[in-house]
Amino acid sequence: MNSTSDTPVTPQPPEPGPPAPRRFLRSSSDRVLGGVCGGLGRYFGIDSTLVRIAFIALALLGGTGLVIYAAALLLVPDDGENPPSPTSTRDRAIVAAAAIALTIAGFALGLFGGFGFGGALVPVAFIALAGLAVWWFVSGERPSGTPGDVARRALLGFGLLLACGALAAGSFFASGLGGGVVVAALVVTAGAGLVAAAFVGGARWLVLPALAIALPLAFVSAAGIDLKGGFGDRNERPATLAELHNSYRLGAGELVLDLRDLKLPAGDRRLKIGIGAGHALVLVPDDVCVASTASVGMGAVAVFDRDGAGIDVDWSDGRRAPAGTPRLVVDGDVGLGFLEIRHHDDGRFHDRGFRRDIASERNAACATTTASAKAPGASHG
Amino acid sequence: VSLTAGLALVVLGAVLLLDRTGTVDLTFSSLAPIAFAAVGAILLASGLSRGRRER
Repeated sequence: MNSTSDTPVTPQPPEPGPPAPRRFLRSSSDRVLGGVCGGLGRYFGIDSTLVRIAFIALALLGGTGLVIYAAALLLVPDDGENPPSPTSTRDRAIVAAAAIALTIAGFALGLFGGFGFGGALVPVAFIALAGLAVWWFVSGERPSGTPGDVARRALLGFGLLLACGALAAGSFFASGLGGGVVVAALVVTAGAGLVAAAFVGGARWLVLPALAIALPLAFVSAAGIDLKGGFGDRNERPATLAELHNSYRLGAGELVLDLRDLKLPAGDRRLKIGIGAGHALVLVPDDVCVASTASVGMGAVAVFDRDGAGIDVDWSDGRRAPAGTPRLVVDGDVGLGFLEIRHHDDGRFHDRGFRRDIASERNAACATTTASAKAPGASHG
Repeated sequence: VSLTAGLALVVLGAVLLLDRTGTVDLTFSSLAPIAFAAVGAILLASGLSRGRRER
């Protein structure tokens, strides 16, 4: 008999293998947005607050932090330890603010070329993060789950953002071109739909499109933007008094009215200049006194060495011409932009953009002066 | 919140409708208080509804 066959065999613990490699996973418990900083803090064994501070600093230094964060959000899976908690109203407010800030910052960086170390990836990061924030706000779904889930939400949110942008652009142009009544009626209808939704449920998504059409209409109304009159650049240079109209209007763009070839007779000549959005430049002969009034929703007026800028600018520069000399009385109506009256076009606007430096030219053909501009930032030389 | 946001939109739309029909003349200065009041009402409603849920 084999003595060993009766001996009970105790199972041996398995040989400890090599330790499993640490994996970088987004944290589902330590998260503010997508758990990237929490996951990094756990991976490196450091306080996640320090990681967040580093990300914010990198985001401010040319947007690199945003690129890394967006990449981690889209590529690194969630640890799945805790199911995402429901999105509270406070979270929604934060996310809405983040979406607005990201969209504005993205546009500003795109317009003014502020991309730093992140280069062309920065706009992609903005798009991804803004899309995620929009989707989170609308659906209440946090950027959790697999990278595929996160990417799908980013795309859906960005699509929604694009749709709202198209609605906003449509509302802006429709309102500026005279369809404001219809757009305002749509806003009222959407508001009524939301009121009804409060009792029967659903239709909360109406908030976003309703705001997308209401805000541009509000801007157009407050600034008094009238886009009728065409778009683009227009140069007018009447050679005779018969060719000079009483009123010039451009919807959006640049209007240059050059009156320097004209020999204006003594007395007043009234001229209306209207521009919805853009730049209007009136060039007058040296021997003509100019009196001006203007209403500017948002922008500036510069009449020789005097100017006023800001919102709701109510400009008035009353001048009297000496007896027997001509006086041009200009009445400007600018929604969003810049009205400029000068003797010479020195290319100041074209070359360097609008800067509120006082021109050296003076309205020297006038006898007395009284100028006022009811707006912040008005100055008189 | 949906009710307050809806009411705020109805009021805003009505004011904008009055402006577009020429009954009132809106400026940034006159529109800003309306906008702030609307945002304030929505925040107030949001806070009140959250407080009710927590109780």
